[in-house]
Amino acid sequence: MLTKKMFLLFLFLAAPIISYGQPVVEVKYFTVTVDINTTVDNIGLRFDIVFDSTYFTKGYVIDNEAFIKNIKSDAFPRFEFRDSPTDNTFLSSNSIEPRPGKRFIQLKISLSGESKSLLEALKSGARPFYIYLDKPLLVDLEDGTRLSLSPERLKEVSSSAKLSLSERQIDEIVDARGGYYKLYGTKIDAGWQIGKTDSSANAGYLSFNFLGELFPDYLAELGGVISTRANDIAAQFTVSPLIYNVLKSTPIFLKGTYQVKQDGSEERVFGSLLYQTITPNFINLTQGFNRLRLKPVVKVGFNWYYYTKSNDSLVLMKSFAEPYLDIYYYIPVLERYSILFEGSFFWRSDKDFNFIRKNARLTGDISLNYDIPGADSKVMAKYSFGENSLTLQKDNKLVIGVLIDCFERK
Amino acid sequence: MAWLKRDEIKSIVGKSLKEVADFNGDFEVFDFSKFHDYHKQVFINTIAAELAKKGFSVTLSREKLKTFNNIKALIDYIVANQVYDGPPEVKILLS
Repeated sequence: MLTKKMFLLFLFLAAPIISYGQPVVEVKYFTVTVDINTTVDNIGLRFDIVFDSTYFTKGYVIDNEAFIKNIKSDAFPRFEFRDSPTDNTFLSSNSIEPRPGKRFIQLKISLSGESKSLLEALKSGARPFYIYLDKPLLVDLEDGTRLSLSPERLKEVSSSAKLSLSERQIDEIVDARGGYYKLYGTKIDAGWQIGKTDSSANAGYLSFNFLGELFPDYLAELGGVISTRANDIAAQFTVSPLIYNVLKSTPIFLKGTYQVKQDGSEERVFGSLLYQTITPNFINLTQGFNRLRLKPVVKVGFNWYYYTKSNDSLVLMKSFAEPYLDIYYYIPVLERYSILFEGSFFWRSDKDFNFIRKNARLTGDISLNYDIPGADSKVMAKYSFGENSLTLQKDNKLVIGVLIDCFERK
Repeated sequence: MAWLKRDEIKSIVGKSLKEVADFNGDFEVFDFSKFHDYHKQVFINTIAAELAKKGFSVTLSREKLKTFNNIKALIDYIVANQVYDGPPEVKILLS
């Protein structure tokens, strides 16, 4: 019979086993993936270490608060990105933020100077690398189970994962980060161009671009191309003392530039202002059917040019202004129809800011669409209006046809 | 901190969708085929901001939206792939 003393003795002996009995599971099966994040103020790369589902069969997932608490302790391991052949670190732990998912660990990497080389590695695929850990990563689940990821296993899996980003992903993340301006804005390049000038003669060149941030969201740029042929059409200097919000964190973009050709034959000042927004819907043709009525996207812009020096007397000492308006509006009609309107209005002024009516241009497309149930096909009528942007010839036409899209079957 | 449940995430997605569109019923069946790039950007920015208020985030991009057949798939993705960033910052406004 178990006496009280025997029970207390049992607890005393078993306590170490109970308290240290937290099961530790060595993680062998996991994958490493990479993706981009382009939501505003959080633009960057995301590497996910995704644990196999077999580690979560009891239904418990990662204890997120325990993970965040452990990050702040000295015992938390350090992540780095290293070149595979040389083991050199090219992205330090200072640029990496580990965060918990339900069944994965995410490494958040903001796009900045140090991470540019990682972006290049993912773009080209020509630079093998792996994710380094200085000691095992311990991850607690909600039921107390502890997963242990070894540095050796992480190196093995990450180096063989063939991580890369598509061209479209690269374009989107670079564009989100303000285009090549902010990532690659400062560069110098020199070389010998073969037959790329008007005269088809060869020429040596030096191109440069320096970008600096004057204030938050305000950049200044100095750039140009110096050619061994003084009258090379590409040879010029450009100074942009004001570039506002090229990072596109808000819908306004502003840029002012001074530009002069190397041979001094042409000199001009120009500016651009752009504002993009979503306006409220002003029409509802659904008659009560539940349709997604996207709000109109409107882009308003204004370009201005002033030529202080030019061989063309028609533009010399003249100002030209170009206000423009783009609209995208998708309008659902009843249960199955929709109208899509995409239009552009553009009005280039004559010299000295004279806006002549005949210079106003309106181009666009209006299409009527219909979803045929079960067949994934659309009967479409389309009316295009306005002028060809290159030849300025009027080009109004009506097209009626049937499109069957074989790739949209669900 | 409890992981966000599907209803909570659906509410966030619905609120974000209202920034770019109007609708009068269940929105999970809608797809992104007619979204302008600017619709997509405003939409994912709003989702990110609403998740951040609760201390969470999820990997999103315009390219990512193309992989979802409809909004239901997007909601399911966020449920499975939400990331905990820690307690949200508390901003104290001095009056």
